Amino acid sequence: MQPEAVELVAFAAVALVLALLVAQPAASRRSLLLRGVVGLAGTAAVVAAPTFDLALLVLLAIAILHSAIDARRTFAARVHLPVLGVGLLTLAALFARVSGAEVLERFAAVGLAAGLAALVGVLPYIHTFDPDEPVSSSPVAWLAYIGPAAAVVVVADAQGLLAADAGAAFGASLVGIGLLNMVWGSVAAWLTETTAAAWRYSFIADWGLALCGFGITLADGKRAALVVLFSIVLGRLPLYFASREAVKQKVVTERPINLLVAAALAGSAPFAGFSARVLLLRGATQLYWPLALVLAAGMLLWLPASLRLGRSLGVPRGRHALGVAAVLALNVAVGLYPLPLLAAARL
Amino acid sequence: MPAGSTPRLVLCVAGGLVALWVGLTVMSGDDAGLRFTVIAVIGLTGARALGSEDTPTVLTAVAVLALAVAAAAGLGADHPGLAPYGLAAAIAAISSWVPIRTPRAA
Repeated sequence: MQPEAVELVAFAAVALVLALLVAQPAASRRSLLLRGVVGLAGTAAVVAAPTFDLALLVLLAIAILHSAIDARRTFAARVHLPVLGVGLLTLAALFARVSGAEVLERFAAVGLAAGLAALVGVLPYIHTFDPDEPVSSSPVAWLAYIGPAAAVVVVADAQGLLAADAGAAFGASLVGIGLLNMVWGSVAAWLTETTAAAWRYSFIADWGLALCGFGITLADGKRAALVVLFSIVLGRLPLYFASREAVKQKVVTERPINLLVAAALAGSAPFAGFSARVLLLRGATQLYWPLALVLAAGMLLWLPASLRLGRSLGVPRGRHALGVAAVLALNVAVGLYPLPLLAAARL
Repeated sequence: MPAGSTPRLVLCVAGGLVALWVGLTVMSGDDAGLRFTVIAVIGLTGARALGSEDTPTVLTAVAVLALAVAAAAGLGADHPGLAPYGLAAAIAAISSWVPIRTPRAA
């Protein structure tokens, strides 16, 4: 088992508790708990699967269960991308195992990167999105709850399947897809019409950073990816839950708490996103310095979108405020001192 | 892409070239039969699952895809044991009775 994947399952469990704390109606909390526990068990099974093929089968089972939840989008619309992801990953693993033409290894590398993107639901494959759909049946479940641990499993298994040359092609593909998601996600989160869609694009932008971290095959890249995934699971996801009611009522506020949340979402110091960005830039500088320039320029795009999303939180009160404070405190703790998190993942 | 159009012609030629490449590189060596079966089944069921909005059709395609993923496990260097085949069979069985409700109207 990958220690960072185990850590991400633990983060998902904490995120579920935080989501229950900030979720608004009691009825929705009960169904959220049930769906969250099933999703958590499935994610843990993916991480515990001894082989890549078993992990893919468990992911397919999760996809069927998730798509069968009563929701506004059709079953077919929800199952398309996970099925595409599993299909591409299976074909890629098959090409990696075939001894023969060198081009098959390249196909395997590209297939693994494309399969990972489809499985999580990031560009060039993104899910259809209904802003009124519950979070548990929406694409956000793949982006921020099941996806992070599954991505770590796929990347670790891919590195075991591919030879050195193809491994480099896999890393380059991930960096390319990551840059695309960074730019597209952050610009779309800034300019899209509805705030709920802006939240969805902001997850995609964060995934861009995580994919770049996975693609930079140095220790700092992996560390950056883990901290970005932490900030998705234990930062952006609970804050998205906390903002749902205010987004529905189209409330926009500009209190100090909104600016704090915007800073956390933008990855500014002292939040976890900041240390992730520093690690990513350090890794990119070691690998190929022009990449660090592109990444640094791309990171500026988070600012306008984060200000928009921070304002959409409303003014949290009661347990809602407690949940938001816990999220911010966790992100400050990891931002100031990420070493325990990285040491637990043996990075 | 209407019948007889240039994009369709280009797609047919490209598809033929891919088929030729598959024939030359994938259908030789050890386990060639199983390898070809897995590629063909994943390609066809994937296309069916992605191309259809009809729930029973998609579920059937997903069930067959699960069996193909398990078959692909047999191509690895190590013996996979019974676990992937058992899990794939369970997924295929569950796919046939999983209750899917019609989406609620907005």
